[in-house]
Amino acid sequence: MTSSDNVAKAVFKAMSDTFEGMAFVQISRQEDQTPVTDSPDLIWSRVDVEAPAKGFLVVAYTREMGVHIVESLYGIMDEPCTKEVLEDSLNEIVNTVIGRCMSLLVPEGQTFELGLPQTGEGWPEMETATTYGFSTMDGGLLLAAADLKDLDLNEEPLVVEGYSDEPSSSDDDWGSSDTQDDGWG
Amino acid sequence: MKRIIVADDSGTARMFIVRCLQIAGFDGAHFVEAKNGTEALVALEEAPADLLVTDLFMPEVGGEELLRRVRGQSKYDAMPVLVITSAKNPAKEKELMELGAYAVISKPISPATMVPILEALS
Repeated sequence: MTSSDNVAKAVFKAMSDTFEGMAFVQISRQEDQTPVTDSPDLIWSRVDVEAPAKGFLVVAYTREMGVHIVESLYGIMDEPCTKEVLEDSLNEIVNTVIGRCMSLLVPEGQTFELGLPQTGEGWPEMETATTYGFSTMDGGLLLAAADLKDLDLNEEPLVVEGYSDEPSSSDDDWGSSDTQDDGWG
Repeated sequence: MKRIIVADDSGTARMFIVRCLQIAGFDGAHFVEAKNGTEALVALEEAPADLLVTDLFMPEVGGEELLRRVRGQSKYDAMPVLVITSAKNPAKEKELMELGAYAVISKPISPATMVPILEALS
C-alpha cells in the first residue's frame, strides 16, 4: 500500500461524502485513467495545505454541472445563477473536500493549516499532481487533482467502503460512500 | 419566533446551514446571517438569539474566538453555540466543547446529521 493509494482513497471518500451530502449527487470513479481536462467551460477551485506539510487539492467541474449543483444546494432559485454564486459554492465544496481528506490522511489530533480557496476557469496549471475523474449518475463530469502525498501521515492503509483498486465500468456501480455494499465490485 | 444567527464567510454555506436548520425543525425561525465573528457579535448586541451556529474558520474573528467571546459574557449563558468545521479533529472538538460549544459538527452537514443534535432545541 503506497501513499498514493491512500490519497486516492481519501479523495474518493471526500468527494463522495461531500457531493452526496451537500448536493445529493452520487458519484463514481471514471474508468479512464487520464480524465478529460480540456473541457472549455471548466471552473476550478484550489486550496493549498500549508502545514504540517505542503500540498494542494483542486476540484473542477463544468459550468453546467455547477449550475446543477447550485440548484441542489439552494433549491429553486429566483434569479439566474451568477458567476459569484458558482465560485462561492465551488469554494465551499473544495473546502469541505480538503477538510475531509485531511481528516482521513493525518492522525487524530494532528492539526493542519489550510489556505484560502483560489478560483479560475479552464484547467489550472499545476506542479506535480494526480488527477482523478468522477462521473455523476446523469453523465456529469467532476474532476479533482491533488498532491497530498506528503500529508499521508497515517501508518495504516485507509479502508474506504465502496472503493476498490479497479474503477467501475458498470452502470450499476455507483459510489455511495456509506450506504452501498456492492458498489465498485 | 426563534432568532438564529448563522455565521460563515461563505454565502453558500450560510444558505445551506439555514436550509438544514429549517428541515431540522427551525422552519419558522428568523435567521440572521453573518460573514464573520465580528458581524455575529454585532447581531447579538442588536437582539438576543436562541441559537448561534458558526463556522470554525472565518476571516477576522473566527468561530473559536467568537465562542470564547460569547462564553465570556454571562448574558449569553443560555444560548447554545453550534460549531461547524470542515475538518473532523477530535482534539479540536474536545477543546471547543470545553470552551462551551453545544455541539461540534463536521462538514458536509446535512439535515440528517443536524436533526438528532438539534432535536432538544427545536
